[in-house]
Amino acid sequence: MQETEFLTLIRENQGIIYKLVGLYARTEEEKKDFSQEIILQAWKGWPSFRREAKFSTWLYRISLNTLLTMQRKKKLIDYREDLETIPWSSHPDEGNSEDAKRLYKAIRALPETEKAMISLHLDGYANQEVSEIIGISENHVAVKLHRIKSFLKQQLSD
Amino acid sequence: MDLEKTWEKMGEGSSLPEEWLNTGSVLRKPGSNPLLKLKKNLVINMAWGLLTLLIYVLLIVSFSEFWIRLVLAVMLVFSTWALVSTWMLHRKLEPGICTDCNVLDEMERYHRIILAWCQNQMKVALFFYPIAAATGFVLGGTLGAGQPAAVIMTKPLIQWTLLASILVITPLAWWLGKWMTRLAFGKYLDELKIRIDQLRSEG
Repeated sequence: MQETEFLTLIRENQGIIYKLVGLYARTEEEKKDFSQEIILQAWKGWPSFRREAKFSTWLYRISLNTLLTMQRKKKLIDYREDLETIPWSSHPDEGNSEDAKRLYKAIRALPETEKAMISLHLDGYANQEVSEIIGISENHVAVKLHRIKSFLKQQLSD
Repeated sequence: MDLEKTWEKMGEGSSLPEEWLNTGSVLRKPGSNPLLKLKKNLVINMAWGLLTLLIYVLLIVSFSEFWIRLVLAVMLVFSTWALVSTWMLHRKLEPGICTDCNVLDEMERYHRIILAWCQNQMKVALFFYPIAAATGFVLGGTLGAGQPAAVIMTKPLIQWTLLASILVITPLAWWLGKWMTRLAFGKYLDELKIRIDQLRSEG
């Protein structure tokens, strides 16, 4: 019963895992490993999940903690130009897909921790929530997000 | 381009492959968390440590000569120290992700634990291996020459050879320990440090 409820919530919120893993994984194998590790860590932490918190926020925190502490298996390769493997490259909406590709490419070029911050911000989390999840002050979040957004705008306007 | 809208659309209609959500295979997997890997390494280290202790005890019982027993006893103390420190690290190690911690705290926790293990391995390499080599040298000499250690150790050639061996082995063992820990977690620790510094930097 617990497992069924957990997996239902995972399925409902799989977009979080899908987008975050897409930003951090370099290969298809890594995408699978990272996704499964996030689900596994969430399952292990499931008994400590307090119902007053939103499941999506809880899963976001676990996903970022997992992704930023994972040990990568192979030598780092430069994935920034590798757009063939992006998860939504075959999205049916071609217009959206083009914008998505460019945004995706620009975010992937950011440092690891900044990817986390901008994804939280773009998913609608307030600076205070980003600050709590990341572990830095709200002012620091605001400064960093301002810089990241400027960088993204510059990249996307080129 | 509206960043928020484009981002929102990215996740629409996206789904993970069904096999990745398979309860049987995913939720029962051991996982690939680095601390879990470290915990398994520690268990293997402890198994070898126990075996080593047992061998030293057997050797102490087998040899009646005082000097041999003394050297073996020193080794026994070092082995026990290595085993206890490994066990203490294993005991307080909680593999997995802290679901309530923030990203920075969690990265620092991982960095701290793995660095402690690396430093522990370096200490073992620096103190344990040279003494083990010296013990082996004395034991080998005693058995090879068929003379008591007290007699062998009075010869200047043996004394100088032992000293030279220790002088060569000690930095070599330290370097080997450093290389092995770097091989296991070096790159990972560097990456974690970079991420921690990225968050810590206000500028």
